[in-house]
Amino acid sequence: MPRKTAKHVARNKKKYWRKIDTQDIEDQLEDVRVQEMTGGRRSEQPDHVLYHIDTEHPLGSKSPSAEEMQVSSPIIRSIPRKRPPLDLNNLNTYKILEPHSSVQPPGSDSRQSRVSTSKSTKRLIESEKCTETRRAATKKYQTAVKQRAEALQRNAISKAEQMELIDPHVSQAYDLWNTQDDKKEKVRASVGPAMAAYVEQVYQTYDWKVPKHIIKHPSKLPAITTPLPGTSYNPTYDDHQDLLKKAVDVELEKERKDLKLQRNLPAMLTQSAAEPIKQAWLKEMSSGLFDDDVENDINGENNQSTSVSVGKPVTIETKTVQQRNKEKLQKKKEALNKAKKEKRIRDTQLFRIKSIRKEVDKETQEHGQLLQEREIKYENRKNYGTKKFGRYRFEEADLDLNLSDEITGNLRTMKAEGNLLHDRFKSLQKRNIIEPRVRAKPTKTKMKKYEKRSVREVGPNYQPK
Amino acid sequence: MTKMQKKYKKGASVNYTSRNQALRKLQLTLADFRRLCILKGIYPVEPKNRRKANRGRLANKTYYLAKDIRFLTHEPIIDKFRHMKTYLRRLTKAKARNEKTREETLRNNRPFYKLDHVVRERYPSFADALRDLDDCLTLIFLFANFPLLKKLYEPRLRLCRRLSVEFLHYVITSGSLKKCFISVKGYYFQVEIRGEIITWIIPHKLGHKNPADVDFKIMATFLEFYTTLLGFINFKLYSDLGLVYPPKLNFAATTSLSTLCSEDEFSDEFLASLGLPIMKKPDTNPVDQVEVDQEAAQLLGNTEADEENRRKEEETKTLQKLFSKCKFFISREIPREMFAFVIRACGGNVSWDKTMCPGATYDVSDESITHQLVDRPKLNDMVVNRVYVQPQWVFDSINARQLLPVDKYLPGSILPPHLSPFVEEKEGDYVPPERFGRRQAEEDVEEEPAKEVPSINLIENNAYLNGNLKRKRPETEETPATKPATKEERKRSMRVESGQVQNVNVSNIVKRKADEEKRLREMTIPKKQKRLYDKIKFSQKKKRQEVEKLKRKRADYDKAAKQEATNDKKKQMKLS
Repeated sequence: MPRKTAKHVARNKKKYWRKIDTQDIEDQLEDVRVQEMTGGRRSEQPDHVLYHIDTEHPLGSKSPSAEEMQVSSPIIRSIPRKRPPLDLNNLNTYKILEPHSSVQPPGSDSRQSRVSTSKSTKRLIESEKCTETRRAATKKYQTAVKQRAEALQRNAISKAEQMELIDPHVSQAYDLWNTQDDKKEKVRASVGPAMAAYVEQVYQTYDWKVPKHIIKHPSKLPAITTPLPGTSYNPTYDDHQDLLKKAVDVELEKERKDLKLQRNLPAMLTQSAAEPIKQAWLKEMSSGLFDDDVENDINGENNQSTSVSVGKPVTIETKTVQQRNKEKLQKKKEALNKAKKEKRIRDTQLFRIKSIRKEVDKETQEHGQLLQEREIKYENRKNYGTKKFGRYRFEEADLDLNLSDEITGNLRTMKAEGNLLHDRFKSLQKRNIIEPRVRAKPTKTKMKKYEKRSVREVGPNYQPK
Repeated sequence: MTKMQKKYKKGASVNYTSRNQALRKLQLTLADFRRLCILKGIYPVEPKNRRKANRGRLANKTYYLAKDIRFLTHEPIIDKFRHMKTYLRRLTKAKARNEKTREETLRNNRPFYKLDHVVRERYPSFADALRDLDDCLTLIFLFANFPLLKKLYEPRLRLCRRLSVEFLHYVITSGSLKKCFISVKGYYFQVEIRGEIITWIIPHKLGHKNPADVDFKIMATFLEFYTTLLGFINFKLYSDLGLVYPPKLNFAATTSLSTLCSEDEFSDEFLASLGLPIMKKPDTNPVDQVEVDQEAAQLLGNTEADEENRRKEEETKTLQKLFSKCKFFISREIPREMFAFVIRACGGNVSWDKTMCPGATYDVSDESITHQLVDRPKLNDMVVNRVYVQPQWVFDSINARQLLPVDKYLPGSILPPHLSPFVEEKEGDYVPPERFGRRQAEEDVEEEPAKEVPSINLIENNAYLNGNLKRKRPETEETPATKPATKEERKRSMRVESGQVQNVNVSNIVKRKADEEKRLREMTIPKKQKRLYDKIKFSQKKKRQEVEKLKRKRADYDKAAKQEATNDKKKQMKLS
């Protein structure tokens, strides 16, 4: 290993002087400076300033262990400590601004104003003071006015809250149907009806004319339909059978409708029936694609070339003038005969006026009956029917019933059926109060998928370059 | 020339507004609009001609009357909806920024709207409100049974519970319960308040299940309106009956338990148990509606209506005092609330196990208990001086308006069917003897007036009766006059006998008179209506025959059954 040789460095320039660490000296000096700033040098101070005699734990006693220290100052987190009231005179923000060095600033404060003794300045000072006091007085007055106004407003608001804004979830204890609005009456008496109406409209307390039909119900169906005797938790046999029959009828009706729909739809073929059609289709589509088919076709072509066309040849038949004339005559004769016959019938009808009248009467009566029936039907639909609002039609809920083997005949073991909330909802729909709706399915936007080009390139036939 | 009329400027196209148009006009979202319509009682309409209403287009739209929408524009609630919207926006913002204090202040100042004016608008009089109570009660009782759901505003749920209890207390104190029925769907109750028949359902207490196809928001909106309505109705009912509102118990509920919860909560629970009477106002005389009606009827002199009223009143009185001599104890396995309500509504005393619910007034060991409701097949320790019955007995007794014999309702026995009191038999229908109850009660009542009717008519028809008697006497004298042939016989017959009091069957005479009048009335029917009348008569006759047949069959069957029973006994005797 070659020996390290000292570098030849010039010593005549400060740049090349040897560097000595002076940090500890600097630290010492800094320490002394700090000590001087905070009460003088420690070494120069007497002992009683630096130390104090511990009377709590005298020399022979045990020093408190770490655990004991913890015990002695328990931190209670569960109880939220109340914040001490804010001392405005002792704020940290102001403390920082105060001079924290005990070293007196050199020289006297240059900012202190020298008191001049001239007359003019004295007068000036006097007037300044005067204006100052006046200003203070006016400010005080203004704040007092402001405070008073604020207090008044606050009072008014709280009063209004007490008067009007009572929580609607605490039921109101006053007679709604027998109370009169005294406030409104008072306003009306003082400003007159026209002005009162205007004021009420501004404050949204005006009683607008209520449309008459609002009081009416949209359907005359009762809110609670009387329960069928079969829905009893312990029904008689007959009642229960009636109920079951009703439910069965509903189901049958549904089935019948479904069948009808199926019948009207294009017929769905069975698999076996559809097979030949499929085969034929396949054959037709694949004709000419394979070799064997080509052979068949060739054979077919051979056959065709030998046979004559299948249908009869079309010939155009023309009528002669004579024939046309004859036909015309014939038509005329027929028309005449017809008119004659009609006249004869009409003539004979004269003799049976009575019976005709009867027929007419009967017809009008029947017509009237039909009209009446239709009217009744319309009336019923208007009063008791469920109307169609919007897109969806109302669908009746299923009957709530216990099956025969579910009836226990005992209140404790009874099987409850149906959901009352659902029942109420359906009832409201049935009575035209709300429109039937279908819950909208949350629409999910389709994720668009694509492959990166680099991925796409790596296929089965990929060959790296 | 008149000005040319433009198309779609008047008529259906102007009278109807589609929902979207209404939304645009009111500047509301669909949800808010729905809520507003429910609260204000505005319903969709079906135009007669959809094409005309929609300017010639045939689209499936929901229509409203334009007048209604115009009426809605004045509604102050709309403004509150907007406040609500801003409130929600501010709240979400504060939440997202994690500003706790702001969130709290916002929550404390949650905007709300009151529906008092809407209630007054929709129900101009108290009677209108009562007429529409069915829906209201059913929904409130339904929600009162709900658990606290996330979708449900908690104060409203509490309000529901309170209102339902208040109403039940009113029914108990007023004694207006008429019918009750246990169905698989729930408990049906019918009360009569001021002549209005009100029916509602209380669901069975089961776990909550939210049906998928029900829009909960809509139902909650209905509930919002109905709670306001029932609040006012309850107040009115209470104040008219002279009760303290909100209801307070007659005694101060203080036991050792009260240290665990606040005084208010404790008294609320006692109140909700329905076991104790509530306080009345000290110096008020409640207006008795029935008495007033009776007086009016007397003044009018309408005896038939009077009769009907009297009958009804008697029935209600018997129903109110049905269980007055009974003291009930409800076992644990029975739905306590319903039975406590029903028993108290019919004047009974009721208690239950102390651990089951607060408000128990006496213990099982109390010797004065007359009936204990039990719904378990077997009991181990029974007390001698009380009757153990199954709960159905209470409901059946109420529907029958009398205390039924308990032997069919003993614990463990197979119960007779629970019949619906809502089935009303028409006049002249066949009623099997198993159908006790209302029908039977009617028969009992019918007998009484039959006895009393002649006493009224006798005074009125005094002259007629006298005439009848005069006419009768010569008839009786004439017939024996032809008989005597010989002198002696004549002599014998010619003597003065002591007069006998003519035994006149007054009711018969009255009946004959009524029949005659009826016949005369029948004769005056014009020919056209006569045919219809005959038809009705014929159908009635057929029905009567059918009923007679059924009755005869039943009698035969009963007789045969009896005989069989006796035969069996005889056989057994022989065998032994």
